[in-house]
Amino acid sequence: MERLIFVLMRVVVTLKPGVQDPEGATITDSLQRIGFASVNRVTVGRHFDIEIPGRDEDRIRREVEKMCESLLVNPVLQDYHIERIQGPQPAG
Amino acid sequence: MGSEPRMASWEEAGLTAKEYDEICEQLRRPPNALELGMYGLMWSEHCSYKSSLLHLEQLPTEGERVLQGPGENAGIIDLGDGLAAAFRIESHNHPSAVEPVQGAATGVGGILRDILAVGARPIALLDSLRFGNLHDSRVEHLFSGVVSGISQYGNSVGVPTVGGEVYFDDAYADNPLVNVMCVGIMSTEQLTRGTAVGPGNPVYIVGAPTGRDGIHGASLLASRQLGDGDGDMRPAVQVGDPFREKLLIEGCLEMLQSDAVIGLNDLGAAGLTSAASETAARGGTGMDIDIRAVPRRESDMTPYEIMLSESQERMLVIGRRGCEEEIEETFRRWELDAACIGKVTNDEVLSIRDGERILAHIPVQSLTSGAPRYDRPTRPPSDCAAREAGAEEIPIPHDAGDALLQMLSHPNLCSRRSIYRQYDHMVGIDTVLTPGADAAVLRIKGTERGLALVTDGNGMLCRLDPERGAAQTVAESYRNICAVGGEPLAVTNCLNFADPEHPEVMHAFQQVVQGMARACRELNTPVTGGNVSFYNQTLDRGIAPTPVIGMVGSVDDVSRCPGRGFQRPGDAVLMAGQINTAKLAASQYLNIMHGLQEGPVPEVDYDAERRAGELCRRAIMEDAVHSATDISDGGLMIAVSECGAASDEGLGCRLDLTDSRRPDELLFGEGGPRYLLTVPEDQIDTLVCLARETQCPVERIGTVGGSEVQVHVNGELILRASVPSLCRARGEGLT
Amino acid sequence: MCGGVIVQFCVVTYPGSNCDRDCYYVIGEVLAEPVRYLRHWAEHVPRGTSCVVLPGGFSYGDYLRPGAIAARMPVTGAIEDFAAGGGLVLGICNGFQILCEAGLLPGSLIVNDHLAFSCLPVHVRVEGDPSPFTHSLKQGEVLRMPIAHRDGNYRPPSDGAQPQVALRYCSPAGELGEDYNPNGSQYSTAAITNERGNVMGMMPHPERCAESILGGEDGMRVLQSAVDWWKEVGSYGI
Repeated sequence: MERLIFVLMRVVVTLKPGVQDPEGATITDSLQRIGFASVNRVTVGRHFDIEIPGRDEDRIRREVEKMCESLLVNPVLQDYHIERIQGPQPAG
Repeated sequence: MGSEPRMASWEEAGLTAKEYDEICEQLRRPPNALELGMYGLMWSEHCSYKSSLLHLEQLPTEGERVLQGPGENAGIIDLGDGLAAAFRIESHNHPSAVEPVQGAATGVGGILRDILAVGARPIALLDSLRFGNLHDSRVEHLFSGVVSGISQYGNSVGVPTVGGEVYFDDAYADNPLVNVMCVGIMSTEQLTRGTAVGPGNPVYIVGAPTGRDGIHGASLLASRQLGDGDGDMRPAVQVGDPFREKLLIEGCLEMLQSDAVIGLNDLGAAGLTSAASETAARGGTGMDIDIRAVPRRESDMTPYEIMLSESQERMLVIGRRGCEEEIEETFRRWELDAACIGKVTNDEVLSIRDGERILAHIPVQSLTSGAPRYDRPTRPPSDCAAREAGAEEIPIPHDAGDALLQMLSHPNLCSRRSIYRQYDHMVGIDTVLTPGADAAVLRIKGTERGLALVTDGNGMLCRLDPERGAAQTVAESYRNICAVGGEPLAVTNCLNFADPEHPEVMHAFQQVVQGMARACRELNTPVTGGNVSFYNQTLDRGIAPTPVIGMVGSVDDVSRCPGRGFQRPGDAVLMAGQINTAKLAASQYLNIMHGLQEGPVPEVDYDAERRAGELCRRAIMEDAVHSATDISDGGLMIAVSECGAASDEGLGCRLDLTDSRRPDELLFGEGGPRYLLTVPEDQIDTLVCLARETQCPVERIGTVGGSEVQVHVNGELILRASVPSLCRARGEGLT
Repeated sequence: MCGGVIVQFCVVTYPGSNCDRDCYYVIGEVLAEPVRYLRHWAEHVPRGTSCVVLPGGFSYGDYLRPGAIAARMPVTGAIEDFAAGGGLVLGICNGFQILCEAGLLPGSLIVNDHLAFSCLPVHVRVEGDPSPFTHSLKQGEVLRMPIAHRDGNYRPPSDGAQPQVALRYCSPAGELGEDYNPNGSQYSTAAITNERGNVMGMMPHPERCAESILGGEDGMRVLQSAVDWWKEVGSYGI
């Protein structure tokens, strides 16, 4: 039996430039206070690692874009980019 | 320093040609780009109230308890014993439509700072929300986002959200309403004004650094309708930082304990421009500001962006000369940046500098009271004849019990627990009556006394008859305060309307203010402030006229407030007030069961309201009742179901009614003031005496007991439902 | 009770703490014991302190992870020394989160299983060996107290060590079960102590139910236990 082929895509979500990042500002401040004076700025984002069966990286990338547009990313406040982390390769 | 944006036309500033000419006249020269931007903001509808002021002057704003009326950051009433309550309600409708979580969150932040600005510690939040119908996924997204935003911000900042209301109607589908009320408490000595006095006194900006948030927020988002190109509104939406807000609250309150601070003002809509010009205008002074001193989040901001930024969590602090070190040190202890950006002057001019170079030079009064006032044309709607509902045409329900379950599970009437469970309503350890009660009750520590707080609105009634609908809204708040044993004292209001340039909308506005004015006068609840939100409209669809009332009352003894749950089997169930005037016209029953919003709106009978309110309040304070509630949306059966659901023991009741009216009118009709009281047998005489003294009709309609609700009319059983089934129905509405 | 024994409380205030004023009020006015504030920059717990209370709230906005930043502030180090010396430490809600982040208590508190903030009254059952904070309570006794948190889901440390559980979520009759667990905490854990028993972390808020006007007084009994214990037994020796 053929093993399932999959691709692992990573979506990295960040705040749009100019949007306030209170969490990042507080973390920057706290790092400075506990001894890391050289830190200039920290901004906080998050990532989604999405595993999708298939080989066609372009098609999969387009599908992930649709996921971002419809659910994962808030277009009012956030930007995103997509990276291929693994595959196409067999699962397991 | 970046170069100025290319915004030179009055149109881009949100002004009309005529307004531009007026500016040139007042300045005696044309304004430069920065000055034009500042006027655009200050003369926008949201900041200047240019379409509404003429009408708002009708409202009663004075009273023996009013320490501060409209015109300042919040209204203040005297509670006696050296205490005062500050309160205000404000809208954040347009930002919430674009980004519901942050729109609602920053709405909470803004109103908190208004209360802080008068020297009070915020102790309670209430939110009044309106959305379209929940089966639309877009509406669902707005609803959950707004609740989330209020929850995140309010909980984080440590101010309990203790009450509010939520209502769903197609009229709000594209234009949700998010009105947030804040109440604070202080000693009368702490009363601080947002006034810049004393030439030479330093002016500070305290809190967050200034970024590009909300550039064009007041003029674009709030003074215009939402259209198809909404995506471009993105840069205008701010993100809130409740942590910084909490520090700001503590830092300012500590600062106010010394006399190093003369005045405080929030930087809200129109940011530094409005804070500076309003404080100077109130003080009859001027202000000189060097924008180089303003801490900023981006290095290349233009003066225009700095003066118009609506970055959150910033306060303007007018200090006392000589106390600079104390001011800066106190804020530093709270990890807040306090930057001295200028000083108070005596030339009544707002002067904006970049170092030595003067960028803007505007007479303060011109920016504030110089704004035009419009008496916009009004015209009654073409279909204004009160559509008398042929209630006779509506079939009597086959099964009253089924009708009841359907009503209870409707989003407008069901339990709101799934919402308020997300709000920390206990922080501060003052909340005696929690969300779910007719009004929230907060105790005042160290006394037996407390505050009763409520928000109410009714777009349906106000669309049918703006004047009577507005009066009924005030009356409903009055009833809710009395239902928890409070004495109603004063009102704040948020007037949510569509486009004031439509004569029919303006007609409704004028009628609403008229109705509100009379009601507040008759019920002795002066208006201490509030906010007007126009342009709640998308393309051709505007909201129903929706005045939202926030009312504050005083409770003499909080230990007497019983809430509405049935407590003991054998207690008599009494109805007090205008017992027989309930009608189906303009009721939630007609709306929910038959999809009709029709019918004449009853006139408020102020005499009956006062008598019934007094009876209820005194019955509670004299410990003669085990529970009390006011009968409102959905009529008698909804109130009875709520009492059963709120009963710790799951108690129901048996009602025996004698009445010739059709059963649905009897069970679900709405009308004048009616209170449902449960009274232990040994207190019935006391109640009857009170009814005689207050000349308020009272009738016994049943007895508490069992775990069912049973209704017999003229000897015949017409409704029977178990309390658990009622709870289940109520629990389904919002999930 | 031993007359003349002073039980001195300190309530810690971090930037963003909200329930510090509530704890201060309840300890000073209702419990009627001496209390003072301890600010986050303090490097020592004042001499003569019997019990340090880390109150609930949103220290540092709950940014990064709840309690993560507060755990790294000077006063938390001072509290560690104080606890090592036998002093009593009570962490409530955010305070519990801070104690876990600081390593004074094992395990961690993650987001509630239903992912939402929950404010409501719950019942808890007294468990385990008596500690100063349960000293005056009976094993198996059921208390009614409110919770208000988004991240109250207790997870023991990954090395498999089981913590000392002091309170478990239960029904009003004292039964355990999924239906009575408001946040998915493993084994319905509502409060734990360290091995020594002088440090307790609890998610419910005792200060919110210490007065009948607010709905109950069971929270007072936890605080009173600490006072009783101190007056009867005194601090642990090494």
